Amino acid sequence: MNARLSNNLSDKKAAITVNNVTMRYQEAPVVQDLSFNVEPGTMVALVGPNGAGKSTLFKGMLGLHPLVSGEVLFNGEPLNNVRRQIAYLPQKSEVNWDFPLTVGELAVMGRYPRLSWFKRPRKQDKEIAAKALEMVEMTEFKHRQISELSGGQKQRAFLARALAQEADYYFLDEAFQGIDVRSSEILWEILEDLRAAGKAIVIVHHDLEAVDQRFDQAVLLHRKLIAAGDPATTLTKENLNTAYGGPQS
Amino acid sequence: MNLTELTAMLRDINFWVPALSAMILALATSLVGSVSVLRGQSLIGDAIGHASLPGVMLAFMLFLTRAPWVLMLGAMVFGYIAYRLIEYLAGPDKADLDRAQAIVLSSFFGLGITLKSVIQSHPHYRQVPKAGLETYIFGQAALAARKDLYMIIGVAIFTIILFFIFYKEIQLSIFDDRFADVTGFKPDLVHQITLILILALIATGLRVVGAILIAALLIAPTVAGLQWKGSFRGVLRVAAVTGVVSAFLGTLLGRLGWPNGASIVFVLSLITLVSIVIGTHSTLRKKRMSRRL
Amino acid sequence: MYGLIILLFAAVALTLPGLFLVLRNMAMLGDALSHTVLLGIVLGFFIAPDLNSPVLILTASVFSVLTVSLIEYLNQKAGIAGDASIGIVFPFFFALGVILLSRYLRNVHLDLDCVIMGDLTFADLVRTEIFGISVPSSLVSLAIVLIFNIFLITLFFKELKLSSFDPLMATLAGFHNQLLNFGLSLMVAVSAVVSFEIVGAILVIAFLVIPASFALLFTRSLGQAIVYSLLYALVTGSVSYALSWYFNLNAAGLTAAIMGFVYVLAFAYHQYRNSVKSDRRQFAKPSA
Repeated sequence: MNARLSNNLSDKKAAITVNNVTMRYQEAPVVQDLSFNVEPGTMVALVGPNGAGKSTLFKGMLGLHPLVSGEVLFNGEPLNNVRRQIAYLPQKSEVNWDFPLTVGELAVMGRYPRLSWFKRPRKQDKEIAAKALEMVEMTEFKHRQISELSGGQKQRAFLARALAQEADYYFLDEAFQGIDVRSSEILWEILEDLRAAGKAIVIVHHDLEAVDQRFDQAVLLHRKLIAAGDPATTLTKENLNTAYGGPQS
Repeated sequence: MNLTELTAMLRDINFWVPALSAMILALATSLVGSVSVLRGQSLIGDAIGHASLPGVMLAFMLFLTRAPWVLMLGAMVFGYIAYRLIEYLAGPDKADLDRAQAIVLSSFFGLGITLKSVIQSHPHYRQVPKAGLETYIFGQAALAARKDLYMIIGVAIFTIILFFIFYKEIQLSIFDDRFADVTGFKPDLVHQITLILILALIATGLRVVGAILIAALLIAPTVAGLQWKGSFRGVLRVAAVTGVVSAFLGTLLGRLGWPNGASIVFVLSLITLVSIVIGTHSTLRKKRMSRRL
Repeated sequence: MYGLIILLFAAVALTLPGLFLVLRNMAMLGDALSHTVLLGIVLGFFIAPDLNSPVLILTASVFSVLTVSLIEYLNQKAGIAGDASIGIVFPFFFALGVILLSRYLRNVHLDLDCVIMGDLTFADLVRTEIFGISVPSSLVSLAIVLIFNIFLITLFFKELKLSSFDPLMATLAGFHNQLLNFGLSLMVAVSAVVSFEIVGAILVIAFLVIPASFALLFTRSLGQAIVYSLLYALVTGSVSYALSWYFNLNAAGLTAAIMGFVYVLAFAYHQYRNSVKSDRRQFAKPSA
């Protein structure tokens, strides 16, 4: 299983440190003084109720939303030194599905961060993209426009783009919502391969049940950090009550 | 111009009639324009303004008259068609509103220009007096004709009265369509009424500032109001004052030989831009304050 | 005859940047730019009172950058909704242009009507000699802009594509979205300045927005969208020009009107086709 990825990826270890991060959204504090670590070769779930600041934190880690204070380090380095090493799977609602783009072109897009200004993708880039499509079993859909796919196929297509990027850090926003069983299997298999290769994977996740089976670490937040660490000890009843408003709701 | 000339002008009835009608028109557009600005659809007025032009031309061609009422009704009909077409082309979730507005705006205006070239060249229209049709594009150099002024005042007062009759419903429909629905108001009816008010004001405003600049009269006063007040009522008050003062000063400049419509819009934009910088409720000022703290 | 060639050159020059304008939901910014160009031209006229002077292109470009900067500033720093900030900036600049024009340039051959409606019939009056052949100067400047646009879009195709589709990933990848926005606006403005005098502001907007929107109804890739939009612009442009010549109508106005009319028909067909498709899907489901 690991073999199909190994020749694609570097051996570099990837770790993320979040230090005392505070963020605001239109004056109101959304994330307060939050800290946690992501070890190399682990998969982390960001969990919390709606409006807990998951997506804001996510964007803050990627430098897409300003931090009021604190820092995010990638292997000890600031974002700017590693930004091309970060692959990102957007939330479904954030994508313009009517954009004139085929699945094949989407995968090639994963190579863009590695190309400097004026450079166009070469044959080698297209081969890497084709291989990524093969891994997510999407080769047969390569000429489809991206809106002509099912929910699961859409996620697989975006995962192919992330794979083509050959990144060290993987950020997924609600990747498992509303997708079919087969697509879900493929996504998990590939993410597990990436984990085995020492990559850091952060996923904004909704489904609390799967967390302790699939993830190495859970970060439970509601504005502030409520608990972080091993899913079993993090997502206790007590902690979940604190985050989700408890039995009263 | 010296002071005596100015006071003489301010005593002149020939200054005050056009000035007052521009001021009442601006008052009406300031109030009604707030609805589309606060709903986040400011540019719909720009699109409708441009799109009304073929209505003016077609009404002239059909009825062979320059009577302002007839041309205004033509403009309203085309404004309505344009609005519905934009709604249709934008799709149910308004995802393509941006391109729908630009498409309708340019093609309708293009149709208006085409019809204008028909009027100019076709022998059928040679006998009919048609001077003044071009003022519907850029506005008038100076407001003069009494017939125009009566119509402007009539429409403006009518819309202001309707606006206040439905004030509560309009306010509700802007801030919470769903709540308005639950409480038994029909937001759809309110939408229709505000649409008719906007169409009527654009169609009459064309005569003063022209198709291209009419949007400013609807948008800028509310934006200025938002820089000073936080409540709907407060925003409306400031917007109304802004609109009326701009119309007065613009007409004054018009008397000095500036193009009337463009002057009103120029003064209005200046006041709005200044409000954005110094307004007590403006984002820029809030930012300055928080930086100081 | 030159009228048609000039019209088609303008069609291609404007359709290309227009596609990205539409994809980035900046169509109404194109509307604003094609209007504010007037102020740039009028101010340029004070410096160099000649409609064919390159100074006008320079001042109009400066004003387009100013327009975009001011709109972005109002939007991002002053907290004013996107379309309201457009609706404040462009009437301000346009009104100022109208005032200056009527106050100080009354005797000049810079006609407001012409700025908005264009005048193809006189487009070939001012001529330049190239290789001993006399061609309209507007054709020469349009050709230069056209080549420039093709060059720039080819050069930055990857950046424009990614940042139009996924601005977040583009930012992550280190592409400068704002810079691309400016570049695109500049391209639009320069094309608008060069073509305004011939095709007018209204046809500028129409060429920027309608062919691209038409192509996007039927295409699955960006390359295909470019081909379709160019074909659409060229075909409707030629047909409209012929009709306007035959019936003695304003060519720019008629072209804009016909392009919009055909778009509405295409859109209705597109909706119809989609509804048939989704009906079929609903029928297919129970059996599958």
